[in-house]
Amino acid sequence: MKSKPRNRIAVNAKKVWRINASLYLLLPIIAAGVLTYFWNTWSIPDFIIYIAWAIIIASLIFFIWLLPALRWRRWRYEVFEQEIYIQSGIFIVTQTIVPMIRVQHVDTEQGPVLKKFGLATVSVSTAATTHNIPALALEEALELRDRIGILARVEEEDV
Amino acid sequence: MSEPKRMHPISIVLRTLKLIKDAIVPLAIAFIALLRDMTKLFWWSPFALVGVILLLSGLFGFLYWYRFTYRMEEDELRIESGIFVRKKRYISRHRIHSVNTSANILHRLFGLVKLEVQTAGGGKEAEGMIPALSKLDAADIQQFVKRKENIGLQEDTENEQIREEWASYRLSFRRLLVAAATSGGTGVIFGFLFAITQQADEVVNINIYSFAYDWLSEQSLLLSILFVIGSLALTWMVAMVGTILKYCFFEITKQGNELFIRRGLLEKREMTIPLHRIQALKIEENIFRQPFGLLAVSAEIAGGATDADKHSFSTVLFPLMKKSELSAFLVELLPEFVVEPSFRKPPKRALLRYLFLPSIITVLITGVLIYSFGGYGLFAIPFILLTIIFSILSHRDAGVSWTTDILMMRYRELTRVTVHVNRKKVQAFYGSQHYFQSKKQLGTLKIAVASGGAKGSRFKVKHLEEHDAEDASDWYSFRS
Repeated sequence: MKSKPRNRIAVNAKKVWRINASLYLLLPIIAAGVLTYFWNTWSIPDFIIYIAWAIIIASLIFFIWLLPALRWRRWRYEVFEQEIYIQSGIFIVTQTIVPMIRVQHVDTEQGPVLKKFGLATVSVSTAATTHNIPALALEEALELRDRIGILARVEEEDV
Repeated sequence: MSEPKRMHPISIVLRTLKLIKDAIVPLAIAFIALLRDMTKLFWWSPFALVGVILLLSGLFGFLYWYRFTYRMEEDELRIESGIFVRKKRYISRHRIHSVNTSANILHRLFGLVKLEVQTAGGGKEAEGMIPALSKLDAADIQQFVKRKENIGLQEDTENEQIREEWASYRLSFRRLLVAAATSGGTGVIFGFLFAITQQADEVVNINIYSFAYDWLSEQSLLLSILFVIGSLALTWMVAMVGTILKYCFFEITKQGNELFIRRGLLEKREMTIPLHRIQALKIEENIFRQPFGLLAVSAEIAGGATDADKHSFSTVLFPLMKKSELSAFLVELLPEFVVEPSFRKPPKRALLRYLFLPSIITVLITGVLIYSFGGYGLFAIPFILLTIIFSILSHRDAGVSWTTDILMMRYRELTRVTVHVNRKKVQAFYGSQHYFQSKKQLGTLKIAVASGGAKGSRFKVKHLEEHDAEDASDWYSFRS
């Protein structure tokens, strides 16, 4: 707890999150665009248009500019022989300990955006939880997956 | 190992009744609709419809029984069922964690039981189920599953000895009544809230029918008080009856490495809980019991609850006991969890954090209520006070304590909960801190335990002293 995990995730994670956030925000932007286009035709009160765009600009700044940077800065992980140590969170910073002997399986995943940047997500599952380490360089992710797989291969007690 | 067996023929009746029960609402609607629209010529058609449905139910009940077989073969319990779509479920007896039986009134009339087989897999449904069979056949299956221990331990005599060490606890009738009277905690509160919302509705109505407003507003204070008291009493009674039916004749016995629970008035249940499946022990003191030093003990169990209670994944190990009896109970039944706690509690400066969010929320809700209902909204003000009291209690009760193996977490929602977990059963350990906590050197601890479905359960103690939280995670950490 006193010491933070040592490794950071790929810097490009910020770009991935930004692209994902932009995709999510596309729909409200289109909606606001439609409202603006029919401003006069539908005689929409001015203040609605202003509020809509204000919200969109605020969320652009927040979700695309601030949040990914903050999130990336918080994100750290370290894999020890006996446990995986993860720090994440934006406003609430959480440090998670996952013991190797509790790990049931490890996966790597790669969506289209991650793929474009040559990244992959490692997810570690126990009997009750799943922990993601998002956006590692593909090589690194595969290596980590195999390493956790081997370390977790200790004789396990049945739940 | 055995020939395919059918269930007891009474299961035809049980199945038929279930089918009728499922069909009764649409059937009633169709019946009434037909009754109203029929010309005289076809006056018999609604009755014919009912007749056909009853006949079909009987037929399907029969077919269900006819097509349902089970057998014990090659170390597997093999259940085959389904009238049109055949479903074959083979469960290896080595994977079976427990075999539980229950009996409702119909079962009991014919000396039958329903048998459920539980494996490690999550989910609310049992992995294998035989709706009706004789007690003897059920015992056969239980024997068949149990045999694994005998194979593991060659020496039968030694095994017998283990089996003979047993301890048993029974819930006395007086305790049952006390448990029933004090169980309705949430029920009473929900009833109270329900009454309030009903009242609010009434207020809206009064505004709409303004003619009657003056007359009604004179009456409504008395009426509403009566209404609140009435619905409180009613929900309390319902909760009481429910508890009595459920926990009547409650008995827990330890045999070797298993806990054996028997309970129920109308519907009898028998369950076995292998000790190693217990993920955490939960001691709950609700607001009606805590002042009298009473509590309830339950267990969090891997792969869903053994209990039939669909609302909760924990299984009640004892519905009500005195605080002073707890340690003896644990020593006899669950010695692993006997610990001398020395709680590390949140510091004084954490009180503000406990008060902050709940107070803000209730103040906002009260504001909205006053805004919408005017004077009637003022009735919400006591809730602010209650929230503050509960926040202070939450702060006072919270704490963590640990020994080499066992972690204890205590927190309060409405009920004060004390969780005991073996370090080995903690799947993941979380320490977290947000901006306001880090400014005051506070931290929150959370653990994940593999009980109750695929997502497990979480337990959390908020706003502890930062260095206590750090010590706790150092204790948990496998590095040192």
